[in-house]
Amino acid sequence: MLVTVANRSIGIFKVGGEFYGLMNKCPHLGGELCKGRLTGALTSDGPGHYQYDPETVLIMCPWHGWEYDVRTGQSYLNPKTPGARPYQVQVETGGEVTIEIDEGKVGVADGDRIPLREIAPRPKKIADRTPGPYVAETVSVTVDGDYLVVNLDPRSRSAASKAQTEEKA
Amino acid sequence: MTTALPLATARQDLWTGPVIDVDVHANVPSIEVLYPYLDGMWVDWMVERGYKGPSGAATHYPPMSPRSCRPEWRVDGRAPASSVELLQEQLLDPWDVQYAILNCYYGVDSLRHPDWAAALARAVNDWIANEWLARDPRLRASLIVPARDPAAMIAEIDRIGDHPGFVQVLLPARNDWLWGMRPFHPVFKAIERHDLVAGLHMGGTSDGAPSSTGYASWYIEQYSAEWSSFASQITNIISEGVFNVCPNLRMSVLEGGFLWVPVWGWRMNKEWRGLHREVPWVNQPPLDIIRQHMRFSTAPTDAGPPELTRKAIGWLGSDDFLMFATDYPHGYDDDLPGLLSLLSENARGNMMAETARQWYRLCAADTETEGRSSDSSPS
Amino acid sequence: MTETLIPGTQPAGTSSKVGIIDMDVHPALNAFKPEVLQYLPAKWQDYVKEAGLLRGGNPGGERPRHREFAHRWDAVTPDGREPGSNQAFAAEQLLDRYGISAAVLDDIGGFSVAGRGGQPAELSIALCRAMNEARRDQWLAADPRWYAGMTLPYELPEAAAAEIRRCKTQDGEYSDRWKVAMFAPNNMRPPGHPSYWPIYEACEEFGIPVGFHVLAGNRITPSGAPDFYFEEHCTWAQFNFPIVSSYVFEGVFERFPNLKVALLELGWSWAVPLAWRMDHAYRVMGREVPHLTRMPSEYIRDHFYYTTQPIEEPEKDEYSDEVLEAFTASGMGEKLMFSSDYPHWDFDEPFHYLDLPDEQLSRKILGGNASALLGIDLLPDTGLKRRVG
Repeated sequence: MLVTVANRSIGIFKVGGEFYGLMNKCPHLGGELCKGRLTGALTSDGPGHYQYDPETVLIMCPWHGWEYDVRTGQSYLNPKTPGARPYQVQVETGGEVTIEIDEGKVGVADGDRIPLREIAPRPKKIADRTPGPYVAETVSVTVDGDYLVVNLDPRSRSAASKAQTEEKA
Repeated sequence: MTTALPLATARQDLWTGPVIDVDVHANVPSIEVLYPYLDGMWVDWMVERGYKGPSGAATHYPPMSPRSCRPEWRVDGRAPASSVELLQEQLLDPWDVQYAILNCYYGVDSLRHPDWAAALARAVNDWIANEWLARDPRLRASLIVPARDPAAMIAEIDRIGDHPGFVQVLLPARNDWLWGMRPFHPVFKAIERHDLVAGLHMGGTSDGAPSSTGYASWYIEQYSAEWSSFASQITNIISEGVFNVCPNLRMSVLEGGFLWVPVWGWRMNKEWRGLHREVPWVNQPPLDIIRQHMRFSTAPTDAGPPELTRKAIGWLGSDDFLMFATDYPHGYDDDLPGLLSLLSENARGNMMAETARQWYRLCAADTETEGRSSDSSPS
Repeated sequence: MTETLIPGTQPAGTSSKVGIIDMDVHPALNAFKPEVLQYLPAKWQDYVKEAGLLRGGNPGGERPRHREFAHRWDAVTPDGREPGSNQAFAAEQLLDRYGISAAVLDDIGGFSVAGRGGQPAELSIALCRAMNEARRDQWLAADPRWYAGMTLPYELPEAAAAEIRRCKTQDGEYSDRWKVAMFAPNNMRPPGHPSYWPIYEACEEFGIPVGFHVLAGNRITPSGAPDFYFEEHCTWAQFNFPIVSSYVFEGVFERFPNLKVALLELGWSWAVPLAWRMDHAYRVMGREVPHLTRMPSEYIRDHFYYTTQPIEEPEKDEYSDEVLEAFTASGMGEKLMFSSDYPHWDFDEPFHYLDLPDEQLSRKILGGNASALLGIDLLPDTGLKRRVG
């Protein structure tokens, strides 16, 4: 999901229980990176062979498709080039639900509460794994230097629902 | 002037170091010279049909075109480049080459009968071995293969590929299918296994128009656009992962030019970054793959104004990219001294001999033995 | 070549905006859509319902794009529909956002009906007209900044010339908004062939260029179809070689000295070494083409136009400067025109070439060259400000 905090457009992702933030600007040619799609890492040692790793979550830029590791911002194919600008996400518990804001680019003031969706990789069955539930949570988000401070309210967890990000990025 | 030595200029005035010429043609003067190398059945077959030889070569080299033979190399009553004596007199001796690599483009690819084409390819290779390679120690050659049947191609590579005179397998730049496609992967493995070079060379027969937009009206029009064949083959060979399947495979690109390669490679690199998931085995930028696995001959050079050409050569990004060729007897408007002047000193010696020496596993003049290294990594 | 002021802009060195014309935008209209088919005569609407279109499929098979419409994911319309299906959203996301004076719409979907075999000739003609009418009513009528290429049944040259004449003389206030005669790059014959010359007569008559745009119509490579979309996308760039070669060596520019050819999304840097190659070939084999009175590179320099998208991304930054310098030194600086390729995934913003050391070159590339080619004025005080000097 996208938030604008302190004039910065930032995408927040939750992968494997951890939160990650990325500046919403692709270092390649400036597309809104966080409006792209998530996918796993795909490698191959030769034609006809495929190694798909859904644990490595990559965001694909909606424009030219460049891929960045959501956790580190590192460019997937261009490790030597500038990666996407990562934000460390620090999670704190406590606080109350006050606002629920739709998914998408929203303006948020310091201390506001916004819903955070857990975003899982493209729902593929790999071995015995099945896609996890999508959980909408409300959180508060503040920015402190390189940190996005995400404040989780445990009372706000709603029923699992299909993530819209997968269908229309 | 160009690759034919100008009158009253000695080769030593152009270049004093060793010379390896990687694209020199041997032309079959008439089908009859191949009869001794064919089973009687095939001889009867061809005599019965009044068959004079495959038609494909004339598509690419109209016999009387100045491009097909420089005027100074035409000899009355002789087909151009049709004997080793002509080659010695017109090229090997005046150029004082250390080695020259013969490519006999005879258009066997235009012949569809799978067995007949295979027989003809065998005959050409035996003719080359006996009447060219055996008669001048400076010569090495490409072996030719039928164009459509991978099994027959591999059989011929296995039959004659270890002959010390053959260093390359000639693959014409046009074909019914792009060369990188999976049915051809075993062929590339055979080439790699015998430590031969895959020689992508002007020529070939396509099933349908030899371009994206129909048949050219004029020969000069067709020739000018022939980059299409080379560019699409190289793109396909990379996209299909041939160099993953054959990590030690070397490829030469002959008679295709080279100044188009950097801008082509930049585009490939750019597209790859966005579209690599479709071809995940392409695991490094395509232009890097080109530099590692391919070398390009200098005939034609097709240079422009010196300073612009110097920049374009810089974009190649390697002193080890080019290999000198006269492409005897074909005619060009190239300027060897001009080209040399645009290269760094290191690149000059590489272009004139050293890159080819490494690429084709040729020994230095002062050593007696040569052979294909067991360490057959490219370059 | 003397420097001329680009209409609608301030002299160099001021802080005025650089006007922009976008040479390549794609509305989501194609011959399969009801919005287009509704323009067909009833008998052909019925025919299409029953017999279909493009029964021959894609020659050589298909390579599905990595995104359904080969689109920017963020160009999906606000109501979740296909990118390019909402004119107002496109105007906002493209024209308004960058202050673009004019954008030329072309429908590469038209190639499927215009060029390939696979439908009756009369239907092909009717479909091309339907595409043009749909484009006119749904886009040109909505915003004066849209201009358009004409979808033409180019394998039926007399009919194509007639459609050009219809658009340019019988379309009322829109006649002047039709700016390019669209061809696919995969004709049945090379495009310089005399069979296509009736089209060029019409182009010269109205002072409009021919335009080629990437897509695989009939055939892609000399050795058959590629397996991968990635490979196809790269291989499009070799469409240029037989196109340029044909126009030059068939003597098209001798017969039509005012004809211009715009190559859209087909690159431009390749033109530099190709011109060299063709001059060398001409010196060796030029006897074959006595109808030429000039060197091939001169024809290339004077008659071909190119668009910037997809932007060159050489391995080193300095090569970007070098290749542009080689291009301008070859006399082609007046021929490069900005294009975005909106709403496709390999879209470019107009910021490239905005800040060149040579401000006039920036102004030419972003808008001036297209303005001169198409006779479209740059709107005053629109575009982007340079970020240097």
